[in-house]
Amino acid sequence: MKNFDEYLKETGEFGWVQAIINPLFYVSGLPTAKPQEIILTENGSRGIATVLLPDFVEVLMLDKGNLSHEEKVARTNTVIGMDISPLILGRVVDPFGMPVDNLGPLAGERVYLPLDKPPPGVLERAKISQPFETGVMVVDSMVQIGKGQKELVLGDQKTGKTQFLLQTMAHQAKKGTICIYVSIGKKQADLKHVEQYLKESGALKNSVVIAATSSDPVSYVYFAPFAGFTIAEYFRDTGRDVLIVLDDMSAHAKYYREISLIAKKVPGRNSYPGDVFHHQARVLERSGLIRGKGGKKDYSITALPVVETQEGDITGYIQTNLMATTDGHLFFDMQEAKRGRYPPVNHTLSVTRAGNQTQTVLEKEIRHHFVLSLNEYYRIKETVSFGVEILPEYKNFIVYGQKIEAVLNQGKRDIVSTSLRYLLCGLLYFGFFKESTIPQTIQAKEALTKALAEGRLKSIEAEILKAPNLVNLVAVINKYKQKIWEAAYGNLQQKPA
Amino acid sequence: MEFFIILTGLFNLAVLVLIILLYPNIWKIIKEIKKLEATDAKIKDKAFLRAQSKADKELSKVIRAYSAALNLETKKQIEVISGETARQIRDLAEFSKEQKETIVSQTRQSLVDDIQKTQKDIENYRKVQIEKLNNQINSVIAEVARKVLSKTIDLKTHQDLVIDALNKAKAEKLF
Amino acid sequence: MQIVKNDTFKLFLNQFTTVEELAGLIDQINGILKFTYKNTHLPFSRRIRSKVTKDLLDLIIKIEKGNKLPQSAKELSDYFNSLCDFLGKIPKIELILAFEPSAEFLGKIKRWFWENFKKRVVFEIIIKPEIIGGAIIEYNGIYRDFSKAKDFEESIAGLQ
Repeated sequence: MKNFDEYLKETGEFGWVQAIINPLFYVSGLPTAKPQEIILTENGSRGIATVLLPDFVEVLMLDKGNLSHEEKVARTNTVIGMDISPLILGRVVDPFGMPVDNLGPLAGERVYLPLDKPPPGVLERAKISQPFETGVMVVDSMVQIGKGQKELVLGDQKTGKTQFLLQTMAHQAKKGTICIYVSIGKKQADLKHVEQYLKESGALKNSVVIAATSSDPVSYVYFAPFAGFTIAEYFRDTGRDVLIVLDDMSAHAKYYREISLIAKKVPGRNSYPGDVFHHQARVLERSGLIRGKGGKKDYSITALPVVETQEGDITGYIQTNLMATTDGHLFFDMQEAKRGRYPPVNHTLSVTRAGNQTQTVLEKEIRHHFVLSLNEYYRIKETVSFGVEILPEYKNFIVYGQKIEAVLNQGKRDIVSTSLRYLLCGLLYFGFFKESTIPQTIQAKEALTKALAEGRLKSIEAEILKAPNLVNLVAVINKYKQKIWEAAYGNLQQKPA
Repeated sequence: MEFFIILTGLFNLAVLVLIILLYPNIWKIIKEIKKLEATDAKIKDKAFLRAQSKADKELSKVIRAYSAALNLETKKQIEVISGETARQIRDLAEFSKEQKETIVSQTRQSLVDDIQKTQKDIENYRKVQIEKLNNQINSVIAEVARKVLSKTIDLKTHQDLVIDALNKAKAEKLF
Repeated sequence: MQIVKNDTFKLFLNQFTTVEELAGLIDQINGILKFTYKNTHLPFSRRIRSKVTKDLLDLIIKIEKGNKLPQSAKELSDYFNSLCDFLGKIPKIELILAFEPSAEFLGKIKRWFWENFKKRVVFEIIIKPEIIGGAIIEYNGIYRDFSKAKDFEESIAGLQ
C-alpha cells in the first residue's frame, strides 16, 4: 500500500476527521468518495467508507490506530479487498489476507480481489444434482445435502455443531474439496482447537482458516464472511469444489447490530437494523452450483452457516432469517444430546430442500425406511411412557428403534464412508442385528468399520456400492452374510440368522 | 547216576586212546598243510609284485598323458585369460582416460560457469548498489536544490507564482 | 440561544485573514460574552475596553454609534453567539507556500478572491520551502498541486 502523500497526489482529494465514535469516524470533504472505498489517515490508519451522508462520509475503522480530531484523510481509489494466492491453503489468515499463523508472509503469485462482489445470476447457476457427503451417517442417510446447497446448522451451545462441521471438513478435504472455515467472533482458544483438529486429521493442507476473533476490531468480524466467500470464489473459478463454514452468523448479526446502532440507524426487531437480512443473504447467495464454461464440469460452493439458538428456540429473528435464506437446516437438539445421541440431529425438525434430488433410489429408500421406523419408535415410546402394557410387536419396535439410534450414533472423530453407510443400513433392514443386544450391535458396528477400513470386505464393498435399491442391497448382504458375520462377531459358534 | 559217571569215564578213555594212536598221522597232515600254505604265500607274493609293477607302469602312462593334456589346456586358458585381462585393462585405461578428460572439461566448464555467475551476481549487486547510491545522491541533490531554489527566487517572483497558481485553480473551477 | 442574522457581521470579516487570526477573534468574542450581563448601565464598548484589541474595540464602537448593537443583555449575547457561528462557517482555504507571505500579500489574495468569486474566505498558510514556488491549494476536500516542485521533479526524472 502506498503512503498518505502519494494517495493525496493521486486522487487530489482529502478530508478531515470531524467525529470519532468507535468503531466509526466521520469525515468531511472527500467529495467523490465511493462506498466500500479504503480511506487512509495521515498516521496510516485505514477505514472503509460505508455511508455517504450530505456533509460527511461515515468510515468504519479497520485498524486500532489513534485517530485525532481534524486529522487529514485521503481516498485511495481502492475498493476493500484481499490478496489471495494458491498457497493460501494450509494457512490461517485475517479477513484481509494477512497471515496470523506466524509462518511468514503469503507466498506465490497474488491477486487482489474485492471482498464484496455481487452473487452470480440465475442463468449462471445449474441445478443441484450431486450429493455432498459429510461423512456423518445421520445427515447422509436422513437429511442429505447437495453440492452447492446452503444448509444452515442451528442449535444451542455445546450441542456439537462445530465438531460436526470439522468432521465434514476432514471428510471433504480428503476428497479434494477446498474447505474454508470462517471464525466469526469466536474465542482464540476455540480457533486453536479448530486448527489443531484440521492439522491432526490431515485436512489443513486443503483448507484455509479465516480468523476474526472476539479480540479483533469490529470491522474484521463484519467482513470475515465476505472474505471467506472471496477465497471460495477464487478457488471455485480454478475449477475446484469448495466448502465454506461460517461459524457463526448470529455473532455476525450482533456485530452488525453494534455498528448500526452506533451509526444511529433506526433499530428494528430486537434492535437489529432493518437490512440485516439483506447483508447476510447477499453473502450467502454467493454460494451455489455454477455452470462450467466451455464444456467444463460444474463447480460448486457449498455453504454451511451456523447459528446459535437459545434453549432450542428456532423462531428467533436471525434464526428465521437464515432459515429463509438457506436451502434447509440441520437442527442440533439439546434434548437429543442429553439422551446421549451424537450427533444430536433431530431429523423431524431438520429439512433439506435440495438434497433429496441428489439421492439415488437406494438412498431414498433408506431414508424413507429410517424416517418411518424412527417416527414409529418415537410414537410408541411416548405411548409407553404412560405406563400401559406393551404388546410384543411394540417391544420389538422399540428395540429396533434403539438399534437404529445406536447405529446412527457416531464418534467425534469417526467418518462413515458411503459403503459403510449402505452396509449398516442394509444390515439393519435385513435384520442382521435382530438377535444381538444393543452393546453387541455397537461392537459389531465398530468391528465392521474396522474390517472395511482394513480392506477385509473389499469384494462386498464393490457390490454394495453398485446395488441400485434396497432389495438388491439385502440380496448382496444375504449372499455374504457368513463373511459379514465373521467380520462383525469374529466367531462361527453363533450361526447368522 | 553212578552208571552215568562210569560211562562218561569210559568214553573219555576211549577218546584218549584214539588220539594217541592217530597223533603221528595228524602231525604229518599238519606239516603238509603248512608246506602248502608256505608255497601258496610265495606264489601270491610273486603275483602281487608282478601286478603291482604292471599297475605302476600303466598308472605312470596315464598320469603322463593327463598331465600333458592338462598342461596344454592350462596354457590355453592362461592365454585366453591374459588376453582378456589385457583387453579389459586397455579398455579401462581408455575409459579412465576419457572420463578424466570429461571430468576435467566439465569441471573446467562448471568453474567457468560459476565464475561467470559470480561475476554476474557481483555486477548485479554493483549495479543495484550504484543505483541505490545514485538515488540517494539524487534525492539529496533534489532536496538541496529545492531548498536553494526556493531561497534563490525573490519575493516578487514568489508572489507572482502564487497568483499564477490561483489563476490556474480558477481555470479548473476549483472554487 | 436565538440565531440572529445581522448585516454588521460582514464588518468583522476585515478583522482577520488567516485561521489563526480568526481563532483569535472568536476567542476574543467568547471572552467578551460574559460582559453582556455585567455593568449593564455602561455602554458595551466601555465594558470591554481593556479586554479586546484596538481594532476590534474600534469596530464595536463604530457599530454602537450606528445603533446597530443590541441593547439588552440577552440580545447582545445572542448577537455575539450568532457572530461566532457565522465566523465559524467561513470557508477555509489551505495554501502551502514556499515563502512566508506578508500581511499585505495575504490581503492582496483576499481581495483577489473577493473580486473573482465574491467570496469571503480564511486562509490556512503552511510554509514548505521544498515546493520551491507556486502553491498547493486545498479547498473543500479538493487538493491541487500548482507548485514548481512538480515541474522540478519531472525535469529531474527526465534527466535521469
